[in-house]
Amino acid sequence: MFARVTSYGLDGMDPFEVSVEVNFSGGVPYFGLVGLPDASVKEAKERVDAALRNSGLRVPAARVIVNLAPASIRKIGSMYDLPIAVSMLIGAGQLDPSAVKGVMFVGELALDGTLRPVPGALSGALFARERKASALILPVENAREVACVDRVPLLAASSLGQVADHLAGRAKITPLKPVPYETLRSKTTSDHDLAYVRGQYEAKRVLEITAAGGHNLLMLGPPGSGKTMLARCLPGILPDMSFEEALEVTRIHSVAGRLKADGAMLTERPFRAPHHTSSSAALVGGGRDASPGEMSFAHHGVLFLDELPEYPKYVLESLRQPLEDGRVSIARVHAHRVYPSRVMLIAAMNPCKCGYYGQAGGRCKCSPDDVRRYQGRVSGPLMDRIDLRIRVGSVPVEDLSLSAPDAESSESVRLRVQAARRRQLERYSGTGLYTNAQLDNRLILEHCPMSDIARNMLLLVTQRYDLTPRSHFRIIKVARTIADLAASDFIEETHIAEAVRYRMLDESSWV
Amino acid sequence: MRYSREQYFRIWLAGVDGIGARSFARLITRYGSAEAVWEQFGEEMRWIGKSAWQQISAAHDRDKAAALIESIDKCGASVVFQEDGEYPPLLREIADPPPLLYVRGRRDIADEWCVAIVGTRQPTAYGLRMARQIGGDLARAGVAIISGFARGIDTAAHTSAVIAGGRTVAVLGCGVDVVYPPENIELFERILGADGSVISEFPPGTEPRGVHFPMRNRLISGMSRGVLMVEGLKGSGALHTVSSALDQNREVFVLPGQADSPNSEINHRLARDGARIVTSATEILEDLHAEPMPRSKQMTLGEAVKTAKKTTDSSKPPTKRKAKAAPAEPPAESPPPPEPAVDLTEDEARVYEALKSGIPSANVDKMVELTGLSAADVNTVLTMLAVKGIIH
Repeated sequence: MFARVTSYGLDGMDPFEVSVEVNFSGGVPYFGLVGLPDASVKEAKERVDAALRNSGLRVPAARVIVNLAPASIRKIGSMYDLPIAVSMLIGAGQLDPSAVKGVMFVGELALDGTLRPVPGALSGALFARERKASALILPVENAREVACVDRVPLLAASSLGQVADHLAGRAKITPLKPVPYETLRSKTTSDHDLAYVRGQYEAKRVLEITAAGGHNLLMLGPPGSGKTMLARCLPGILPDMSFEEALEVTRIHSVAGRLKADGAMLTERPFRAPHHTSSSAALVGGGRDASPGEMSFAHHGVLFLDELPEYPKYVLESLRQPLEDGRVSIARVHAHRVYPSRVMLIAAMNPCKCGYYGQAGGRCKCSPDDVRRYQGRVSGPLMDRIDLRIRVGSVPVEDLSLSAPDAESSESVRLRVQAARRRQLERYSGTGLYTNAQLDNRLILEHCPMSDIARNMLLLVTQRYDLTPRSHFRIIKVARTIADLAASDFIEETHIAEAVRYRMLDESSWV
Repeated sequence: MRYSREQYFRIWLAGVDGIGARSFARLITRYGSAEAVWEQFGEEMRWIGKSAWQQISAAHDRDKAAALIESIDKCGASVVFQEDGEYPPLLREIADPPPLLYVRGRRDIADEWCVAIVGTRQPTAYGLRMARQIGGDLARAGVAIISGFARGIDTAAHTSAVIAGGRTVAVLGCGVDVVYPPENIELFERILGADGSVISEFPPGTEPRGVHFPMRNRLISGMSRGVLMVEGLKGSGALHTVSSALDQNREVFVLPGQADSPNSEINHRLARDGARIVTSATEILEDLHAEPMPRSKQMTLGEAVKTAKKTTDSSKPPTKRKAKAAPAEPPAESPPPPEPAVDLTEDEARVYEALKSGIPSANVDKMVELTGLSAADVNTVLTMLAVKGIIH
């Protein structure tokens, strides 16, 4: 007897339909699995067999062939356990084929018949909706991940037995009730709130500008000056993720099996801080399966690179294109995949190897050549993509013990950032741009009108500080964001004046 | 530039490779003029020495002389002769003053107050910092900073003077159209752009050669009232500058360092031998002040000392001062205006006050606390003040 059940597979983040076909025929008992299964799929045979038995379901011994179509695409993962088991039940005549019409199945089986969660459930649920499936049956532990998906019945099952009962009509599983995205967002304040950051007024201001314009930021400072702490505060002042953004972010994490333990949809902007020993495959993605890297995990969030010059040069260079394009494309022999990677890059570095160059007290023992070499590890083209550069000084120990004045909380900064972002969205509607950071030199002329006084100011500082055309444009871009924060359509003199201060590290000598 | 006939021949003669200041002087004494040397050149002149004679003989060519003059014009240099008013007055007093100097930037290099800052090409961070600080403070006090444009301390000294908006003179061991070390090209331009001067006794096109540098060093000390040795390693060229300073009877200042720092070993040795230990620009100014000088200059310098005293505590004193010791300046009844002449807004005044209290302009956080302004405002105001020329 023949049976067919629908499931899906994942090519990177993109789902494709997979038909699980079973044929029972007489002859020597045999189980064959075809259709380019990889090792993890092949093992399904043993799991399905045990799960069926332990669920009290009997399938007669026969010559069984399971085919995963399309047969030309490689299938990976344990997600086909459930559809294979269901198709065998139908093939053995124990379930009515009409019960699975239009239904999609996904899930890994334990030997006792319980269902285990699978990666990429969110992509699958969206795919089921797109294909107008009559239902998607999936493991109950994936329920929280797909909670927000509406307009498609999602049935969360805990075991194979429950699925069989449902299909046989003995005990129906009620579809999940879609949860509105807004209610999902956690209201807990994070540990990283600007209110807890002592001093660092300038750095906080720059963080606000960075967030408002979606810029990249470089912080230069000695060890212990709070660079990491400041970077961690950034997600808290970024605008809330929209539902679409949250879906994208969750999908990326989901396909790589990197969701949190509770399996819930991600509602907070990611903050990724890969260590400087990370390989370029770990950062931009790759490996045998062309899986996503840190840049994609940080999509719509923050990628924090501490100790920037410590990263191998080729790793840093591999970041350039994804930073520019907002997506990573990875080509391997067996796969070509594109993952989104719209990140804000926050980099931190010491001014020299020992970290104390330029500090009072003469603790630095590096020669000027050492310093030049250390700073030279970050290439010019990468630096070009970083609009804001500031020096972060350490807060004197005696100040730390003072009672903290009331610092502004991340929440109130976030409101200003959100307003500035809204202005940008309105201005750039229809142009495919979202933030000031994306402006190139041509667009700057178009979108950054300046008052005459501001233009004069820019001319003055350009002459006085002997600025290159590059830093000239960078100043306009940053001034545009400062103007947006001030709710001004025109860039004014004061905006230019402030922006100038944040290009201090442009000169060849940084200290 | 137009030259008289005699000047033309002096440039030619001084430009002959192997004719130094001494040979030049001997030739002029014997024949009366450079033109005469050109006219009377022949077998009879062999007394000057075999190689020098051959060099003159090789250079005794109208085309070559014309090419030399042309190369001077081409690189925008001008020539200052020993007889000119623009020639450094102190330099005339040394044993072998160069007959002429090639100058780029400001032609008038007869600065009244010159102090040389010299040191090793491999300084410590301490050495660099002190060179910058003392150089900057001296420059603000109106002293011209003389140095050799080498890597390390020299570069720091020139840079500090340029940043301070003061005057600096780079004395090269190569032609004034050759930038050596090459990475200093930006500094080179900045010196020229900031009313500084780049000078050399070697004609344009001369490549840097080891033998040139000791010759250059005698000019550095020769045109200065004192030489500050910041740091030096054994065999350092700076040590040579110090010994010419001693030969020329110039004051030698040394910066103290750590007892076990190899970079300060020479300084401590010099101090034992009688060099003045100094730790700030103020002390240098005080020591130089003790020397006899015209009354009006004394007062000018007195002011400078006062200014320097006020500001040496902070690393970046905010007061900019054009202390050019113009001879016509009336004796000192008008001290430098402590307040900027430009009108300041209320915020600007607050930030300016904070700067005067000694906070470096790089420390925005401290200024936020002191002024009560936001970081955004402080940064805005700092740029405004800089554009108005009140701070750097």
